[in-house]
Amino acid sequence: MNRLKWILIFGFLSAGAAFGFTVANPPSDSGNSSDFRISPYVPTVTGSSSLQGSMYLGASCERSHDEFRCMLCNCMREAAGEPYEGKKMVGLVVKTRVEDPRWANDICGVIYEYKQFSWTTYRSDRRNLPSHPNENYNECVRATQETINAPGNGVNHYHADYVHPAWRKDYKKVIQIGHHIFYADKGAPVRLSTGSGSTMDSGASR
Amino acid sequence: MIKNLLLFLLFFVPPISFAQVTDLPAVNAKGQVEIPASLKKLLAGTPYAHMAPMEREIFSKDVLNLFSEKNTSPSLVRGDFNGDGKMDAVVLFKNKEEAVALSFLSSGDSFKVVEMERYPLNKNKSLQETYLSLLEQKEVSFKGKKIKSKRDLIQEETLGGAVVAFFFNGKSYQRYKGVVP
Repeated sequence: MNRLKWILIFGFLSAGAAFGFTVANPPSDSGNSSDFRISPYVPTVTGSSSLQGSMYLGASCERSHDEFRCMLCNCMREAAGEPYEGKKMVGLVVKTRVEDPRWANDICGVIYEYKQFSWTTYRSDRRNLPSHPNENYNECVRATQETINAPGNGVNHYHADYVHPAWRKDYKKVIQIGHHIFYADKGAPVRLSTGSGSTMDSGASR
Repeated sequence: MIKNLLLFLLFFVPPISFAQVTDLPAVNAKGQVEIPASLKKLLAGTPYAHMAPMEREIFSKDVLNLFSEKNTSPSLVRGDFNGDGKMDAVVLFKNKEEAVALSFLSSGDSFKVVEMERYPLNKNKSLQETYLSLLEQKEVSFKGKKIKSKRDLIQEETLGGAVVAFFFNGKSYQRYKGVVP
């Protein structure tokens, strides 16, 4: 019985890989996570990464060299409950840091750098990814897919709106998305774009 | 009438207890955190007895710039952390391997010592970039809403990185996630 179950699962996964199943795009013009729906898996001709999300269900968030997993864990621990655009922005902060010599030059290195992201500091926060997909998980998979190969946008810091770090005075406030306030270096260029590709005002308040 | 009122205030309003303030850790003229003798006595016989407050020099220049005012230090934060209306303090102590954030909480006429947080020092960087800062009662909020708090909170920040707020729940310290006594 068990063997039959595994054959069926393997068969399904193989078929998925062959067709390149993908998660449907969230509505990108609203930037509102409440509009986001996960459509049934739809085969596409582009073969875009498909079952990537399901591969990581239940995966460990201990430090690894798997960049997708590092980004996905970071999104789930830092931005679960935040709007989709906020999830993407957290990924872009990581990418901006990867391109900046002040931080590590790889995604996992940046995320697990000493006391930079609070969830990596506390063992209890490094719990595994969920075993079953939920809205946050699906959004984080999508956000990771969209940012992992994207260039950084100049935004390199953020904090939750319920803390008031002394360090925020050293940076230029760029935008608040959900409950995260994002910052960039003073005087540095910032490229913000919404999911629809339009540019948001980067006129930062200092 | 006014004269009588002034006399009343002068003689009948209980004076602020300066003793409790001077008994707290403070920053001296050199910018170092000093632990008063009464608190050193409290630490005697505890595992913290041989630990020292972090010297000013151990912090990076960027961190020190955030504490350019006199009487402030990245390793000392003062506020009312147990909600009794009296001043308390948290100091970052260190030994060779780790840092310990230790609080001195007013308890009647004395203080009690409660550990807030412990973490390994970053061996990759010679200069310390983790420090303490104050989150005042009036600033306490969560998800955009003000939260009524009877006490101040303590932020443990890493420069440009993680910011974790702690509160004292009457027995120990907890990370702040929107609920505070």
